[in-house]
Amino acid sequence: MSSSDESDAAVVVRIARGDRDAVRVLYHRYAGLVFGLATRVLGDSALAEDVAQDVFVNVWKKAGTYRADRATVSTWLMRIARNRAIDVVRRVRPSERRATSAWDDLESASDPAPGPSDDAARDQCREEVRAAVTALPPDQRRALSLAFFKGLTHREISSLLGEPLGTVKTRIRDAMRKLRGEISEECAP
Amino acid sequence: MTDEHSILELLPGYALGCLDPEDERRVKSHLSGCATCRRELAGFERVTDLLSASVPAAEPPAGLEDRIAANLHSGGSRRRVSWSPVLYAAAAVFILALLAGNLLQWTGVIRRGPTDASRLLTVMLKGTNGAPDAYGTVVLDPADLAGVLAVTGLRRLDAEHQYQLWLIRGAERRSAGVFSVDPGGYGSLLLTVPADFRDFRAIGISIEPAGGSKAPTGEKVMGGTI
Repeated sequence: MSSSDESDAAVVVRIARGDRDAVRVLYHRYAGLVFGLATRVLGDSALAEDVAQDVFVNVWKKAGTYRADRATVSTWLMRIARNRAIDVVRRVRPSERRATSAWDDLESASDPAPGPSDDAARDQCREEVRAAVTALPPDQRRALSLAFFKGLTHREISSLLGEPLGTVKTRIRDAMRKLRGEISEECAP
Repeated sequence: MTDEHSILELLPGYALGCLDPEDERRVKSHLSGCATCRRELAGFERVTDLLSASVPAAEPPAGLEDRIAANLHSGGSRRRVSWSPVLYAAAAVFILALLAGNLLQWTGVIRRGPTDASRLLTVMLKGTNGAPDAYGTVVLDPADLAGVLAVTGLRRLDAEHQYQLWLIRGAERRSAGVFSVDPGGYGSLLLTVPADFRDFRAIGISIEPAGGSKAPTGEKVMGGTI
C-alpha cells in the first residue's frame, strides 16, 4: 500500500507503534494546514513554526491516545494545533490577541499549500465555511474571530471592545448558530 | 430561564473555549447529566472544527520536516527526563552556575586576577507559570561590579520582543539588560551591576519590547531572591 492510499487512522496507528516515517506521512498531509492555522493565530511565522513542530512532536508522543470514534485525525491534529497556538499567543504575544484581521481575507483566500487531498468535496466544504463566515455581520465576525483565533474569553472580548458582556455572549452565540445553520450537513471537518 | 436553557445558550462559547471560568464550570458540570446538551454541543464542536479546517494552508518553512524528525530521534522531547524532576533541576542549575562562573573568567570581566569563588554571589532563578520549564543563574562579582546571567528553557520570542532582567528593591525595578534566547531556549547576558546592588532583594525577568523598557510592562517569566 502506498502512503497515499493509507488512511490517516492507519498512519496514526503506525506512529503509535513507533514508526517515525509515519510521522513524515502525516506531516506531508497536514503540515500546511497546521502551519497556516498557527500563523493566523500568532501573526508570526517563527512562532508558528515552533507550534507546528510542537504539534507533530505531540502527535508522536500521544498517538496511542488517539480515538477514531471521537474525531478524525485531521480534526484531532487541528485541535492540538489551535490549542497550542492559543497557549503561545496568550503567553508570548499578548498584544497580538487584539488583532482581529484573521478572517478579513477569507473570501479571496487561496491555498498555496493544498490540504491532504484534492478531494473536491472537501474543497467545496471549505469554500462553504468561508462563505458563511464572510456573510456574518461584521460585529459577530469580529467577536468570533477574537474567540476562535486569539482564545479570548467573553469577558476579555467585552473589555477589549468596550461592549457589554451580554452583547458579546449574544454575538458569539448567534454567529455560531448561524454558521451551524448555513453549513450543509454533508460538510465534515 | 431554566438551567438547561441557560446552558444551551453557553454551548457555542464552550465549543470555542471562550467561556469565562465560572460559566465553563457550570456547563461542564451540567453536561455529564444532560444528553440533549451533549448532542447540541457536538453540533457546535463540529462548527469549531470546520472553522479550523477552513483556514487557508500555508507553506511550512524549509527544513521544518527535518527538524521535527531530528526531534523525534532525540527522544521527541526537548528534555529527556529520566531522573526525578528535583534531581534534574539541581543538575541544570549546577551546570548553569559553572557556565556562568566560567563565562565571567573568559570574558575578562573579572579584572583583578583569578576569581575567588567564595566571593561570588549566586542567585538561582526559576520560571513562573508563564515559563514553567525555565531555569537560570545569575553570578555576581561584588568586587568588580559585574555579573553574568545564564538561562535555559525560555521560549524564543519574535523579533519585536526580548527578555529583560530587573534588579528589584521594594517598588523599584532597575534594568540590568536585555537578551534573547536561541532556538534551544538558552540565553546569556553580561551585567553591569550597580554599586548599591546589595540593597536589592530580588531579580526578575520579563518579556518586553525589543531594546527594553524603562519599567516592566510585560509578563514576568522568571524570578529569584538575592
